[in-house]
Amino acid sequence: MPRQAGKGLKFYQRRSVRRRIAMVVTYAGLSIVGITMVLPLVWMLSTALKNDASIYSIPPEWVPSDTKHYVTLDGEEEEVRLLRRRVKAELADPADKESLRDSVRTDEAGLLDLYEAQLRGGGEDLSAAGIADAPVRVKVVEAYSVVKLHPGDPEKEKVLEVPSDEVTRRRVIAPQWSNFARAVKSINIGRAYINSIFITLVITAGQVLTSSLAAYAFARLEFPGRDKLFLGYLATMMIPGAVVLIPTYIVIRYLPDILNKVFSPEAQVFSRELFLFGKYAVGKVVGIDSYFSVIVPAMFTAYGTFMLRQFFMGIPKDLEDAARIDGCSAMGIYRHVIIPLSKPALATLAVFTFMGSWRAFMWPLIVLSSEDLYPIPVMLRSFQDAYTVEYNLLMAGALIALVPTVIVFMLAQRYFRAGIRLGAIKG
Amino acid sequence: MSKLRKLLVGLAFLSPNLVGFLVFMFLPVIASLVLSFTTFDLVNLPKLTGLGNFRDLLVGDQSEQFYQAARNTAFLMLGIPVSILGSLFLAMVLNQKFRGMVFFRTVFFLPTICAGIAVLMLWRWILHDDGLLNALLKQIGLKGVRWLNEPEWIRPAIIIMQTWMTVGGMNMILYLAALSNVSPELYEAAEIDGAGTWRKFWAITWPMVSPTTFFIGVMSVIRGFQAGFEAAMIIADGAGPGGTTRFLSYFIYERAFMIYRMGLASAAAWLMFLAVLTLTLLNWRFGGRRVIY
Repeated sequence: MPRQAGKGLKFYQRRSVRRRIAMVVTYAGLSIVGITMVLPLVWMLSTALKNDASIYSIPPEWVPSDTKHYVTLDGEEEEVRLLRRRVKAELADPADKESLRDSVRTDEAGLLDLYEAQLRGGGEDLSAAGIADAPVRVKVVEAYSVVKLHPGDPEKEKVLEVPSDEVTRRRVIAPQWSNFARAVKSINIGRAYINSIFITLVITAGQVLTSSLAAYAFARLEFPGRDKLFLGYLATMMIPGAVVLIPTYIVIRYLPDILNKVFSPEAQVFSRELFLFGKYAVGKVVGIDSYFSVIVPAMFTAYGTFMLRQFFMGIPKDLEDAARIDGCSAMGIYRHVIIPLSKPALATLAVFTFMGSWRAFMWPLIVLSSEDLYPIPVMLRSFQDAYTVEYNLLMAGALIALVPTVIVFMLAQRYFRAGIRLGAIKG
Repeated sequence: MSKLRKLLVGLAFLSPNLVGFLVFMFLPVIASLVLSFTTFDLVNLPKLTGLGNFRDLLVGDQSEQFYQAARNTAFLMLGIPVSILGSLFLAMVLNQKFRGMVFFRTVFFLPTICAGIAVLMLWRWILHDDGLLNALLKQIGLKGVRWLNEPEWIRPAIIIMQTWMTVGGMNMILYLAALSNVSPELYEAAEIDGAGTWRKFWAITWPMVSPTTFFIGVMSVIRGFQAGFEAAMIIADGAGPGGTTRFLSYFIYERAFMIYRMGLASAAAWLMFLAVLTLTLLNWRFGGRRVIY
């Protein structure tokens, strides 16, 4: 049966209708996946803005809120701080007086003055609250709240007693922006930021420079052993980081001793601690606990060289020949032909390196022991170890750490996607 | 130019990278191999033990935890096919031309951008006993699970987290690129021949993206061997309940930097390397043949 005719078909069998239905299903499915992707991040922000009391609220609260109390005085509603809820009660059986503990207060009228919370089980049993020796029944006469008017203002502050039913409580939206400031104060995030930016920038610059030089040699210069060497580079991409980790650590650890012995047996320059402006600790010269040890081993990767080589290979050779005829040296061609034409590829490598070193965790964790030098990921971990239950502060700190990656991604999105494809040209 | 001159110019360009490469890649690989035949605790000089470390790992007193680490890592890799197929599925949906595609693509990519310690901290909070996941499960009437404290639940939890982080990431972008290269005429021809959605997938899409699947698969396995360290450190406080998050990466870290058995750790790293190498070569040999270019 010809499908496009539409006649003789049921409504849902028509092509246009089926198309619509397919579209709706697609959007619905995509939205579900999209929400799954975003929801945890929304939860992160929501938690970061919660006050300490509502972190663990059940059911989970998506909008950071706070319970506020109000009383109406002279026709005007005023916000108050609830200090305690109390009740005045009388004994159901006056004979029970014997069982009451001495800590129970009575007022002038002979009524018991109790905390509301002590009346569990409808006041059946004050012994459960620990204020009577035997089960004692009471009847509530009056419930009242002790509230503070104008809290925080020493001049107008006033404590009042009001009947409990005159206190209205409301859940209001109250994002605690101060959590971010608290997180910054709890750990030295500022210093970690500076460390991360410094480390990341140097690694990125170093990688782009050394990789592009090497990639140019592999792509365009002809010399004996070139292809074999390149294969060697490629092969190392398969070696797990764990293999090189340990010897590199050993080298870093003994580097100051070796350098001192050779170059500075008297002054021991290489194991000195450095201070910027005489007061900011910036770690040792080399070795454990130095910027050197975080930066330098991360500066050379086969990946960057490989990626740029692939790109350089695609640049027309004619341009280069023309430059050579004009008397350009290899260095001149690299600087005036290759680099200007490869800006997208260089940017791509820079973005990838930035993202990679910004989130690097294991190596800095191993070679740094002084908190002054911690980059953000390592700092976050000690933050987590120190603040085990304050998830609002932890999430605030984590969000602060995410800001630069998100910004870099947004600015460099197209390079990012291009880079993913470039890396996949060849396995 | 003479041959020597060419060599010198070439080496001049290479040298900044090559020196770093030799010092931080080539030499360490050799050194690591040498170390794996010694015992070294950073204080006393390395002592040769022959195959002692390998014996300890494979049949000796370290074998129980080493095999556990291998099993844990293998368990984690169970998430790889799920994540790859998920990426392919999402890419196929996104590949239809419709409005809002760029928006969804960006949203799916969000977890990949944010990946790192910060997001692991977020997941520790989500998987907490009183965390979001259990609360949501409760709301739909299911009993929650102590994700972080039960030996049988922490690895599935990490797989869930990793799938969330990777499914809309790099792999999906790679598949999108691959799919955009598939000519629409193929599908039209298949439709004329009466092929349904399922048949079109198996006869056209799947073979056409097979090089990408192969590439992603190989890379994922290589990465999979080293995975889990950050998750173990941040979410499970190390080895996890009953050692269930002592992945190979964590095992090596633990031996090298917590009890300073550098030789043993190097041997473990080399065993891992050999496993990666074997699997990759097998992949190339058998997987590579079935791939249609």
